[in-house]
Amino acid sequence: MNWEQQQQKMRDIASELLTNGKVDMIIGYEQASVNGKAAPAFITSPEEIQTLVWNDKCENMLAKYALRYKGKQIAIVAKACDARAIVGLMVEHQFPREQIVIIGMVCPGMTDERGRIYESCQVCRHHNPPVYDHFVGDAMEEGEYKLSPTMAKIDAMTPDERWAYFTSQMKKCIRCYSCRQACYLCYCNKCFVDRNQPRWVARTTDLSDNIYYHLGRIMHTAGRCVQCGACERVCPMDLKIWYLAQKVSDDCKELYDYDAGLMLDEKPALADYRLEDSQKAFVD
Amino acid sequence: MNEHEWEPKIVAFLCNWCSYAGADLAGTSRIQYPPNVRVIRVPCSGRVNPLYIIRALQEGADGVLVSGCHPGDCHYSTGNMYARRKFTVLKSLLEYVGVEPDRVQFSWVSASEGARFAEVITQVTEDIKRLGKPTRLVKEEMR
Repeated sequence: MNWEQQQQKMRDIASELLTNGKVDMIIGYEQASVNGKAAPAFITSPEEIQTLVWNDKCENMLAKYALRYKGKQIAIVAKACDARAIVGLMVEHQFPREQIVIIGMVCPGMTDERGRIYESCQVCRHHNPPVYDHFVGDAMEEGEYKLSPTMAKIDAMTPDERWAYFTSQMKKCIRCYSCRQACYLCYCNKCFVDRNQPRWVARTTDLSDNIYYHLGRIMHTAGRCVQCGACERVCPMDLKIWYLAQKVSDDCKELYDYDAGLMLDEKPALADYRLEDSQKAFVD
Repeated sequence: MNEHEWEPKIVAFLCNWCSYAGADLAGTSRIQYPPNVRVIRVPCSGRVNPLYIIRALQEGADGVLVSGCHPGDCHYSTGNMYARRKFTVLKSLLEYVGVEPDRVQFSWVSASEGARFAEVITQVTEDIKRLGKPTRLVKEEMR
């Protein structure tokens, strides 16, 4: 099944769901006005169904919007990572399974405006939505673990070089918090960076505070992140930050055999423990 | 300052029920250990937010130690078990971005291990002295 066929089938399903009144709203993608990109669409009437699109530019993380319409019956056009994100949110009791219809799209990977496949999609292992109500597309084979180009580069570095690379990225940060806004996991009512009693992050342009924000955010999403890469794609300053999220997810996979967003009845890695967990961080 | 050897300041987050009592025992047993630690008593090692550790380094601590009850002995049953996962991931992340591995350390010390507490502190102090003054994560104004 190619993109057009998937799009047609997705529209048919969406149309049926809306006409039968099974859902109040479809969250999907529409054509954006710039760069041939897709933008999130919120469809409430069957006449608008034709504006829904599905192509290799549907990179936005829609699970974020599912949080905005809690309590409503919604259907969501979910590529594999969105579906996993939704599973993650359901594990965290953000909404019940019945409230959301998942139109699961098989996704071979998204591309940027120049047609290059995103790094997060290059190494993606889960092309099929693990939980769905409708399955659109031909199931793809689950991929093997692949090291991303950035991580391969970092692995070959000495600690000093790693620090130099890390700070070269962090220096660019303007702390617009776009990465937080794009991240479906960042749904705290009040983010730690916005708190001022106590003030966690100082209002400075200090490199150290940029690092504090990013490490803080990565630690908050540790063991929950599905590595969709939305944080890096949205960055206006082109910071490479996704490799940190991937590192933490890899650790959770390796040490605790946990992959976020695959199971509805499994606790996130850092909200769980085993008596025989690794002691490698501790002096003996 | 220059004629003296540089003495690091190490922030130690000790859990109230085990490591803090362990430090107490080291004291009452008259066991010697380096005076470089500044102890912050916390209810449980699970109470220690990773951001506390990064903040300590930001604000001029030369090293950080977090110590709690041995796994299985937590006063709150499982606090240290969560802490173990959290700190394992944190330490690995800090190493990955290029912070020296020994700059932040974790250990288990029980209330009866006064001698072990002294050993851990001696070891951590030596490690930090070897590393020297931190340059990474430190705020500009603290340098």
